Amino acid sequence: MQGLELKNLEKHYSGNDQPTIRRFSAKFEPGEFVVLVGPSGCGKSTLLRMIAGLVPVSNGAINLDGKDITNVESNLRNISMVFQNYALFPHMNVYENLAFGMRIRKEATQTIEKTVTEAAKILHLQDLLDKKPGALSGGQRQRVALGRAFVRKPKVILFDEPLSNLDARLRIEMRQEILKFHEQCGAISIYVTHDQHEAMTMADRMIILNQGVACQTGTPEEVYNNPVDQFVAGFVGSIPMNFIHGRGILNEGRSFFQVGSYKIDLSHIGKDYQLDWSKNSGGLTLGVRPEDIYLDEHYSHAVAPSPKMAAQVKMVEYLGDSTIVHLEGDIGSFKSRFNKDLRVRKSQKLDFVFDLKKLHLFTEEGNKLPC
Amino acid sequence: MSVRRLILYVMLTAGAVSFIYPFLWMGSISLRPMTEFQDLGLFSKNFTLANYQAVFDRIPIGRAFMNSCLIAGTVTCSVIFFSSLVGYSLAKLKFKGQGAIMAIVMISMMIPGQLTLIPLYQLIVYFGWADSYLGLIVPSLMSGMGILIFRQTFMTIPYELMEAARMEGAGEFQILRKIFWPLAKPAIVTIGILTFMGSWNEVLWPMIVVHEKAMMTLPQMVVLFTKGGESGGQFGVEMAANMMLVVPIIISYSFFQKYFVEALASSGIKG
Amino acid sequence: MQSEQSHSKAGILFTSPYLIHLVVFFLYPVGFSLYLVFHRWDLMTDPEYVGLRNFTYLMSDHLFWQALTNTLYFLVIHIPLQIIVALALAIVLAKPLKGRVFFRATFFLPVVISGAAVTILWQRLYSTEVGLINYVLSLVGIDAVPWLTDPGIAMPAIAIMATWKNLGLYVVFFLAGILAIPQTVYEAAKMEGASSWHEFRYITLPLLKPTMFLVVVMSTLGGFNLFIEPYVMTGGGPLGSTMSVVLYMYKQAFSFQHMGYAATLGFALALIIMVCVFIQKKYLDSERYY
Repeated sequence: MQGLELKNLEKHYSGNDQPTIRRFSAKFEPGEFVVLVGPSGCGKSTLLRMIAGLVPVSNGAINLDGKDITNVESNLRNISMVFQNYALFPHMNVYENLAFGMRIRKEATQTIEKTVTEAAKILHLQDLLDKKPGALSGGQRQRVALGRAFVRKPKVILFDEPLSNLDARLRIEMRQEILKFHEQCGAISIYVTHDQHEAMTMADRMIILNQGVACQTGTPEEVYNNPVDQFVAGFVGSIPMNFIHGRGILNEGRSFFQVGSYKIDLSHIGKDYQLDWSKNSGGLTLGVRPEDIYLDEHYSHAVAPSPKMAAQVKMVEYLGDSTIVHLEGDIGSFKSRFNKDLRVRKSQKLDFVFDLKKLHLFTEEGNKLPC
Repeated sequence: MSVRRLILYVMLTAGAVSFIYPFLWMGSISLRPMTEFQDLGLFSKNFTLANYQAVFDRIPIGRAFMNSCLIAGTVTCSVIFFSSLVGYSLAKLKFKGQGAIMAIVMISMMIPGQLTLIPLYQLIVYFGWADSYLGLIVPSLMSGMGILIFRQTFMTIPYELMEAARMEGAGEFQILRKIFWPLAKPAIVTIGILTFMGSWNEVLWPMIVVHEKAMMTLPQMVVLFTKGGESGGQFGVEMAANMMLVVPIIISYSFFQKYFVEALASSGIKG
Repeated sequence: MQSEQSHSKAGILFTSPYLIHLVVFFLYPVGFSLYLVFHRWDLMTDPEYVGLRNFTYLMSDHLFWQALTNTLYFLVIHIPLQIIVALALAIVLAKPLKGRVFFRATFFLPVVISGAAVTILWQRLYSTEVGLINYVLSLVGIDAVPWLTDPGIAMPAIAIMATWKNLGLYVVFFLAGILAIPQTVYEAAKMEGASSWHEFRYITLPLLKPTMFLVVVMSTLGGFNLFIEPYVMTGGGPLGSTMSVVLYMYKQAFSFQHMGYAATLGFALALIIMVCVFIQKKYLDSERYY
């Protein structure tokens, strides 16, 4: 099989009760750009280092193009890595940074020169070869780091949060550059980040990792629209999903979500939950994304409105392209994203509705109820 | 300039003079005939190298100088090399017994050297190393302080650099040699200066293990020269010998003043 | 693969030369010193077990006690002198004065020079009849001081010389300590109406406590290490007034071949140093705030 396959990878560190990585399996096709995303401490960096061969695997196997490389030395794996902050050798110039691996492998000077020149051409580093990393801009450093990955002609390129210490503007530029580089290389790229926004914008496919377990794998759209559990739902989205705690009730054979005095019809998402809510305690969490909340009378025909609910404005954040309003009502505190033209004041009282087609429903354990 | 500031400058200058003048005076005396030894000024019409000639005639001071260079040089290279190996292991590797090694480094630094002076001398005698370079060099080949300084420095070097090198197939020693040493140049300079100075200026240990003139270090020989009567109590000759002890250090200090100050200042961190 | 295994291999390989050296030239001598303190040995014949006799002799050896008292006398003069002068210079040099780099470099000069050389030089400076110091004193009308020949003055004379030699180092320590205090703290104090004295007394001084501790400990260690100074200048005299413990140990070992007793002296001195440093740490060390 072509591509990279991870089978039931596990990592136990002595002294930790919980494994850092638990039964992780995934397949990566050549040319794919996959983003591993999760909060800090979720094990994503460990996973990357296991693939790189920097951290030994406790259980499971890594296959690359059908060959088992689980116990192969890091430098013989055909895998290269772009590190956090790029990890350029600060005392070597760009040329020597690119040549480092080949010098270690004692390759012929002509080979080194040919390979470095080629990489420099592709990444526009020709004029920088004599400079040391300290004299380069952030963008130039990234190109050197990419060049160092490129000269190995790897089958897999690993990216370990390469953009995490850059300022916001540069970060957006660098994303484009990395994606362009990925296309030029044609290798499998596995990109680790804790920034869900970065993951959403860059990934062909993303894997969301939490406490060493892969929660969900899918395209950014799939993950955003159909999060498998409350963790993913809360993690993905630049303004997190609102969670409202209430109870499920059955009324004349139809399912409703009850919070305070409001009853919210679940038939649009649940195709009639014929669940006996009284069997489990009935406690449920309703998830609503901020953009799926509308002011009464402001919604279009595409929206299936919930009953009107009342709330008071606690805080207003004008973002320019939209406005985030922090609201508090009988159903608790929540945030909504409104059109930029809307003008609301603090303490103002508003009526709003949810789009019944865009609701998410979770059990008390955080598992999603099937839709 | 305010009066207060003026007074400050006058006092600082007076202080500075009291630190420099003695050395200048020593240099002047060493260049003057014996008859002027009571003169406390700096200049004379009768400058002569006779005192230096006398030193070279009476004691093998050139040999002592070479001995000191050889000993301090070897000790310095060894301390830098081995301390960096241990410092690297303690800072960047993970292995069983690491904690114990760290603890023993600390303990070896806490115990005053006076405790081991006499037994160490007997060990050297037992090895047959008295009056030999081995006796002067081997006990100082390692340094706990060097290890601590290297460990501190290496801890600030990011793991990613090591990982990047490992992914290219570099072994631990290659990582140390190609990445950590070049990046730790300031620490190497610091340890180099401290070790070299410590070894160059040491007198007690040479006085214990060496009694043959041919094996003596420079400060030891100068001390015995002024103390032991070979100087004949001649002021100028004593100062000439002392100048030979002082001048190499003053020359290197004036070129690398900044490094000397930094190195010695960092020696206080261990306290 | 690069795993814990290869870490262990490299770790053992890298540390073993040090560990072997440590065993031979540190652990073994420490152990052997414990053996020696219970023995009489002249290096020629076999060591003879004498039980605690070295210790009982030590307790009643008035030369040892005198050496110890001399050292304390040295410290009592040297430490306060050192701190006051070094601190004053550091405060002055912390100001944006022209030429402060030159002054710092000048005060630092004796620090790099061998103690032997400084001692040989100072022996001449201290000369009663033709010494530079007495000459300068005579200019301001002070009679010639018998620096190294009066039992009451010889030790203070050595302490002054030691202060001159080490001053630059402690100025640098204090300077680093002072410059580490953020300027904003002083600005805040000024806004509360603090005078220069208040600033010194309530900000600079308390925040320099860690530096102070360092200076005290290093001066103490220096004091207990006195050897070449009395060896060259006075040979321990006059009347044993400058005999230091290390010099006494050296004489016991190499003039009289009392190896067991010399080891006992070394053992006792090491113990005293550790106790001193421990006490100083307990009472003087404090948190480093900056």
